[in-house]
Amino acid sequence: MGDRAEKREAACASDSWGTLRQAQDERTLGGRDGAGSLRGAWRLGWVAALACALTAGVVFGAPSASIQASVDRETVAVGEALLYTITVSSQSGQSPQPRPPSFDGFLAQSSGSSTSLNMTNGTVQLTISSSYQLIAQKEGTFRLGPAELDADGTVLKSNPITITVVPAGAPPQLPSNPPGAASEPGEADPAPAQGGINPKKLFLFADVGRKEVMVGEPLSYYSALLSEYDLAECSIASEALFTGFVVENLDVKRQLQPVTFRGRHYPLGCEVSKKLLIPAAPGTFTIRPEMLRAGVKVPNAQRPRRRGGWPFNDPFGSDDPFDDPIFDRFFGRNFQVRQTSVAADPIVVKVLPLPAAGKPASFSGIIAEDLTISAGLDRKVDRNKVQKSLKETDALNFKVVLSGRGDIRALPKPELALGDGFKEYESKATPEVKVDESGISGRKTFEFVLVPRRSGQLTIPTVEVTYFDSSKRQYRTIRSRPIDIQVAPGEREEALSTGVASARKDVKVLGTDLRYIVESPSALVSYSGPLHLSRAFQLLNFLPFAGFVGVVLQTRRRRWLERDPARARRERAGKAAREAVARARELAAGGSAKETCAQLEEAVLQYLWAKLCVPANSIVVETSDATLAAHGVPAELAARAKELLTRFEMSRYAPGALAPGAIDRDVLETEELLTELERAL
Amino acid sequence: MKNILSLLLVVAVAGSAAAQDVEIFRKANEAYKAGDYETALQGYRKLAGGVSNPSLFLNLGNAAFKTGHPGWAVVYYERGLRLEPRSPDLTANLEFVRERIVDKSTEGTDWFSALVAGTYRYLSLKELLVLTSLFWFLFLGVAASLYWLDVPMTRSLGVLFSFLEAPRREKLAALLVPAALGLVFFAGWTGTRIHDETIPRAVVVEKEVKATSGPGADATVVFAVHEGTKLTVLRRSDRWAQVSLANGYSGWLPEDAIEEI
Repeated sequence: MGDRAEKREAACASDSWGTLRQAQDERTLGGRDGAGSLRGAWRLGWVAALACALTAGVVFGAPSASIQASVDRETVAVGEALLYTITVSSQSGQSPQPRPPSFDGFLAQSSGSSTSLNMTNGTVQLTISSSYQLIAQKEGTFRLGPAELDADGTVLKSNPITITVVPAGAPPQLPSNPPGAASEPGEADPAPAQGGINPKKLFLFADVGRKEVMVGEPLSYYSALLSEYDLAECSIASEALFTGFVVENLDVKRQLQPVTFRGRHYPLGCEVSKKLLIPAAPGTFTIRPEMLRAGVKVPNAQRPRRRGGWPFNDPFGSDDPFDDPIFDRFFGRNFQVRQTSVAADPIVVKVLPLPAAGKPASFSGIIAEDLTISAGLDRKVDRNKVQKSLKETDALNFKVVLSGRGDIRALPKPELALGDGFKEYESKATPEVKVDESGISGRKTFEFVLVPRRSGQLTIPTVEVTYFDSSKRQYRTIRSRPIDIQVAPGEREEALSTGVASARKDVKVLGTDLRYIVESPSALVSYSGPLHLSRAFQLLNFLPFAGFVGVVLQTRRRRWLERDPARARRERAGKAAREAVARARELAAGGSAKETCAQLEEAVLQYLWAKLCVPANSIVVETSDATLAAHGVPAELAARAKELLTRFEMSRYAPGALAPGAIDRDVLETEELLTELERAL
Repeated sequence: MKNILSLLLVVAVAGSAAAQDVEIFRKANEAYKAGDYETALQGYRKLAGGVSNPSLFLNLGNAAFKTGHPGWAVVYYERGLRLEPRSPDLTANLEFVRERIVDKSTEGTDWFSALVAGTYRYLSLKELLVLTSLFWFLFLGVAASLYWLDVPMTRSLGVLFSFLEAPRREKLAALLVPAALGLVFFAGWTGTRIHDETIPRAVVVEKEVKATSGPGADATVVFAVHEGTKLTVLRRSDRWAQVSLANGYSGWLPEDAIEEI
């Protein structure tokens, strides 16, 4: 047996892949044409077979998806939340969307989804987890029906889940403990491949220390994640709620590391949040801690390894030198990530009101500990000496400093009972505080600009501040010492240039809101509809246009008449004759027969001149009938006209011959004649 | 006699209706002051059926906002501003509500757009119509006078530049060009505003609603809008409305989710 054969036997005996690999390589180098081409053919066949299998799976609709529903807990109280997760696994490479069931009895909010891709035995598996945060609205037992999924023409359904909602305030029950013992200190355990995640091994610790405080007394809130499982990821699904508290955020180190908590070691722990809570009002308040989403690493089942190539001659074996169980952990191929929610129980805090008994009227509203006060000027003063540099109207900077523990930022400006000695021009407040887990501490400085109103002995009085001491549980009043000074007489000035000018500040906006409603009944006066649709408005705008058109037409007519005087006279003849007859009637009424006849004659003649377009005075009475007949006037009418004109002529010369009443008759006849001539001409 | 009685009856009924409205208004105001905004809103809504007044719309908007309906608040404030565009209370309250709307305004926010929009809407439609009518009367009156006086209208431009030297009867022509320009300007502005107000504009009145590519819940969701967002209604079909936003987005929303201004 040659060396090569000996090495092969040794490899078979020891089951050492290194020796076997060496033997295979030697075989390859030594027998390239024969064994090498055979292996190449097997590889090609393996790839082809895999492609056919995948295609067949797609074409023939092999079952490619599954759907499963899960919750992080099955018992919650009213108002509490649970996490409902739908996990869809698909091998078709598609990403089907599940339809969640009805969440009657819960307020549902999507918490997003996560996707993971896994390749096992050459099969690609896509896993999508969709999570919903459900907040219980009422007591009872609720069945969350199956979620549905459309896959390859069929409808897949998940498992239904029953949730029990207990009354608010009842302690929520932890889910039943899954099998498994506490892990030994060391590496984080993998989550069980089957069954739920033990809440004692993965939980959120949240606490405030004291459950009973007074209004304004700070509380320290702390929450941390503790896990005995190995986690792939962790994030905050919903922030904590601190209804009834003013919240100050503190620095927190979010770093997963081994921790020891209450004597127990946890391979993974992380601070989630640290806050300082200041109760704003008395009452009982519930703090809802954060809800986290964690991805727990769940181990895959061991998959068989096949060794390919000679001497196994397994065409589906793998030549990959790293295809070995010991490398699975390195490349992260031995686990899946199971999403779960991690939450802590709500924390109930009772906030007591400040005692009413003994509360002084001057209480500033501040709760603090060991508050101290100091007050001083910006210059040294000797009460027994007149300050030559300090005159009336000189400005003094008076400082009051309050130090202690508590939310002294809220300290109001102390009132200075200055009387008639000083005038206060401006003040400013400067807080300097430190906020940490133990509370708020620091100082607040109030600076006042004071101007003496008069010379002589003046006193800056005591400054008092009353607060509630939370450590001693009683109201305390602290006072500064009064300061006496002597002020020299000075020029009286109404105001300081610096004091007044700097006393003016911009108005500070403290808040915004809607402007107030209108209460006057004038709000009930209805505005009219669209004006352009109003008939009256349309008519009003049409009338000027009509007037304009009328002006244009009238102007054109005027111009036309001005160009043809004869026609103009002819047009106006009838109107002029009527006006002349009206004048004759007036004369007749006055009893003037001769003038009346003359007027009437003039009226008829002027009319005939204008209408017949003949020169004035060309019509002779004796031949007037012939003239009229020549212009088409009927003979009878022409004869009447001649007869009337003859009568007028005679009356001119013999007015006395006219019978009484004849003038009126003449006027009437003239009118009738003119009317008939108007028709005839 | 019969006509007088009828008239008296109408006046009496109108009077009692007015007294009723005053009482409803008073009770709604009392409810608002007491913090019972829902009752106040109902009272104001009852009055809005017959009264169109910017102050009433202000009250309606306030009550709607206080009851957690910023979309309806925007609708009422916009309706009030159509009647009284320079109302400082309506403008301030609309701005207040807009700052609290989820969707960012897609209308032009640069100073120039704001200036143009503010100027465009500075006058109410009624004021524009009155101004247009005044210029219309002025133009027609001057034109008719010039025609009557035989003054060529083409002289109007020349008279503008040599007013003092122009004959007395021609001085009137100096008014023609300004009257014409004013008429064109205000008529154009008015026409644009009338056209603008015929375009149906609406506001989303539901917390969140998804716009689809077609009328129907089965169509593809294209975008989501939130309560208080203003949009233009393009057309309606089968209880759905096609809308567009100022940024050009277009989609279909259920008619119930929007309210026309």
